[in-house]
Amino acid sequence: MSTKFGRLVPLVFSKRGFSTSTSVQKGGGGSEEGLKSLNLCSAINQALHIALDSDPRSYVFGEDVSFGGVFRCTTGLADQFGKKRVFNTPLCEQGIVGFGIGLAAMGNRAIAEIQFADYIFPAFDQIVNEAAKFRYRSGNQFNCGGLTVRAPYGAVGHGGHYHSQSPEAFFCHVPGIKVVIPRSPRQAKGLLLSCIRDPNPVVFFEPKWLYRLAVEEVPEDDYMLPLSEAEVIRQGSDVTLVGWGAQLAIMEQACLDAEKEGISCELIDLKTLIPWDKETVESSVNKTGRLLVSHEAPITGGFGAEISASIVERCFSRLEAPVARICGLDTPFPLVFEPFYMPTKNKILDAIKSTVKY
Amino acid sequence: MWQWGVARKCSDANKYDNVKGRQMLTHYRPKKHNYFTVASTIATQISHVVGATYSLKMDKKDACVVTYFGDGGSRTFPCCLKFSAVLEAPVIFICWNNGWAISTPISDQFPRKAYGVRSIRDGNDALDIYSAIQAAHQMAITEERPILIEALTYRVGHHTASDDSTKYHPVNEIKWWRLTRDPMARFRKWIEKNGWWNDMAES
Repeated sequence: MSTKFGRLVPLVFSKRGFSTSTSVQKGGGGSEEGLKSLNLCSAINQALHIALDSDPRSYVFGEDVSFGGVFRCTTGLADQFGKKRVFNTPLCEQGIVGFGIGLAAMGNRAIAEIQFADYIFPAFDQIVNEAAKFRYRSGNQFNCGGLTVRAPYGAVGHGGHYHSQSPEAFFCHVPGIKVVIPRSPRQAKGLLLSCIRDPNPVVFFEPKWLYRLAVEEVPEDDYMLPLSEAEVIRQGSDVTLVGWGAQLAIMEQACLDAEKEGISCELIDLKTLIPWDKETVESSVNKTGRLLVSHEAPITGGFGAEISASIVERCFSRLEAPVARICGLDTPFPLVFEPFYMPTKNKILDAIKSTVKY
Repeated sequence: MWQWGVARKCSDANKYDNVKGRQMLTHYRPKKHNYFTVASTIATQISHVVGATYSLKMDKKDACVVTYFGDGGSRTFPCCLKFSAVLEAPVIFICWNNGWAISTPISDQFPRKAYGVRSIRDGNDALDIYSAIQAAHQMAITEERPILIEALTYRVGHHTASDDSTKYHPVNEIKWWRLTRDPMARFRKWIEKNGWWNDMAES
């Protein structure tokens, strides 16, 4: 394995906001009682506590998870549930996922952690050729549906090449797995519990920029948010914006600025990328007539291309302008040039205006 | 022989196929025999087995898991050995060292002796293998640790139907192994010597 200097990267606070607005909340934990203000990593931690508590056949393992994890998502788990169920593994990503597949194939809930999404590639063969095809290739005699692979994901301000990547598109071309990315603490807890209990292998990416910055009221009880269901988090009539993860916060700011210029934007959080909610995006674009997709990952081969092509197929006669994609550039993720690399609010705002004026 | 017997009950790529005709031939394995479905990917199953064994251990089953791989498939083995040792998983690794990975001889895969192990057995001796696995099974379960068996043998057939091994494989070498070390012939000698088998039963 490669040497991973700086894995314990201290987070630098910024004035960047986060997306927690919810205009149409579906099953978000019921009543407003029993709420507690949590950040993203605490919400993840709560979800893991609930998963381990509610299912004695569930396990959490990976590099450095025993003491609480390098982002503190597994704090307190080993103390409460024991080192046989929450444990460190040797430093080997293909071994972590392969081990998880075997554990899940025996009917357990295997919650594997890959320390940074950038280091999930050594496990790519295990995820793509094994986990995704395990059920299909055996004629459903065997499955590893209990496997969930969670990993910190996305830009963090200073992660450079190997602590900033957004590899979701690599996995979206793989039938047999699900890919889920939350935007906020409340979403993360509900979505992660759904992933853990889903009968299919799931890759769950956690926007690490939000681990401590995103704070909101989160129900303390056990609740699940449905997979493969997008959410309209902002109603609008002139243009539809689609995104996921931390990028939604940037998009939301662009929507606010666009509104000052008389443009009404609808904002959709996709949440699950595979299988994705085509119907919600389609009905929105049929209303607005325009689509803009934004993601941190590089534009070529990014998941925005799949959304764009699908919507053009489905809404061709309704589209008033070409689909806009405002994404990361087609380069490795740079260190000092991050502000120019990222699909910023201004890039999105410019695209919104040119789309509406097309 | 057991493999071909089972094959009659779940033949490939027809309506009886329990993997529904979705994989290449010889990739079947029925669940009732506790045999994970085979896949073409090399050596990926080794780490699966460590996870499966860990599950049996947590369930306090008096059982362990066995995994098979060729000498060419041992490239991911160091990682899986670490996992099984650190997690105290009772797994038996059986490496069939038949000297070749398609056209690549063992000398092109490993430095001489640097990967030497002390658990080498004669892969063409059925009794040696039986006693080794029997001992390994007991050790793995009672001591909760991995056991490695390296079975030395020779691939006398082609790698697959897509391979003509005489292009890279000395024919005399193949003949020698076939004539003097064949596991079936050796086992037959032993059971005949014990009076349990004869030419009439053979035919």
